[in-house]
Amino acid sequence: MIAAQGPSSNWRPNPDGRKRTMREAYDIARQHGVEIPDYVEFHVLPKGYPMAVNQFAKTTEFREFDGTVIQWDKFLNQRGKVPFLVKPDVMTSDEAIVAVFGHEVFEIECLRRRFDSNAPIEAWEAETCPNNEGNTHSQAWDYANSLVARMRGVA
Amino acid sequence: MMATLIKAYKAGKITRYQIMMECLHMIDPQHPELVLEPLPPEVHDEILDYASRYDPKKPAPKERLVLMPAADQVDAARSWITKLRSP
Repeated sequence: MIAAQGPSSNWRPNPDGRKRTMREAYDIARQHGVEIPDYVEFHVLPKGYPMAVNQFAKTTEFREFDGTVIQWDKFLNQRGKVPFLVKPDVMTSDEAIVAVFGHEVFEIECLRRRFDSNAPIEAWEAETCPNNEGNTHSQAWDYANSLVARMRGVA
Repeated sequence: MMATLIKAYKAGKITRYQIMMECLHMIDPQHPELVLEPLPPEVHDEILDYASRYDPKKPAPKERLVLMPAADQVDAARSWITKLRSP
C-alpha cells in the first residue's frame, strides 16, 4: 500500500459558505470521530503569521543540527498544551476541519509516545517529513482521508 | 510582525521554541536589538540555550530542506543578550 502524502480529494466547502468558529470546529471534529486530547489546542492562524501555501496547520517545527535531543516540553506552550495554528480557509469546510484536526491529532499522539522520554532530531525529521513513505505523517493522512471518506458514506 | 508573534506567544498560540526560531530568522546581525528588545526574558533564555548548542560544523537535517538560522544571526543574538545581562 502506498501511504498518502496529503488529502486524497478536494474537500467540499460548506454549502452555505459558512465559516465555523473554533468551538464549532471542535464539535464537528469530535462528531466525526476525532478524539482531541486535553493536551492539544487548535487556534486560527493570526493575520500576518506566516504559513506555507501547501500547509493547512502547523505547530513547532524544529531546526536543529544532527544529534540534538528534543524534549517533549519543547512541543508545549505556556499552558502545557501543544498548540496548532489552523489556516482560516480550513474553517469554511467541515470536511477540511475533520481531516486537518484528525491528521494533526493522529500525528501528535504518535510523536508524544516517541518523545515522552525525549528523542533525537533525526526521529522528529523522519516521522514528520512529507516525503517519507509510511512514516507518521503519511499514516496521519491515511487516517484523515478515511475520516473524510466516512463522512461521505464511502468507507 | 514582532507584535503578531509576541501576541501569539502570550496567548499560547505558539511555543517558546517557535517564537525563538521565528525571531532568529528575522535578525539583522548589525541591529539585533530591533528583534530582541521587545521579547520577554524567557525567550532570551531560549535563544541563549539554542546558541549554546548551535554548531554549524555539525551536519544539518537531511530529510527535508530545513532553513537553519545563519551563524551570524545566532552570534549577534547571543552577544546582544549576554551584553544586556552583564552587570
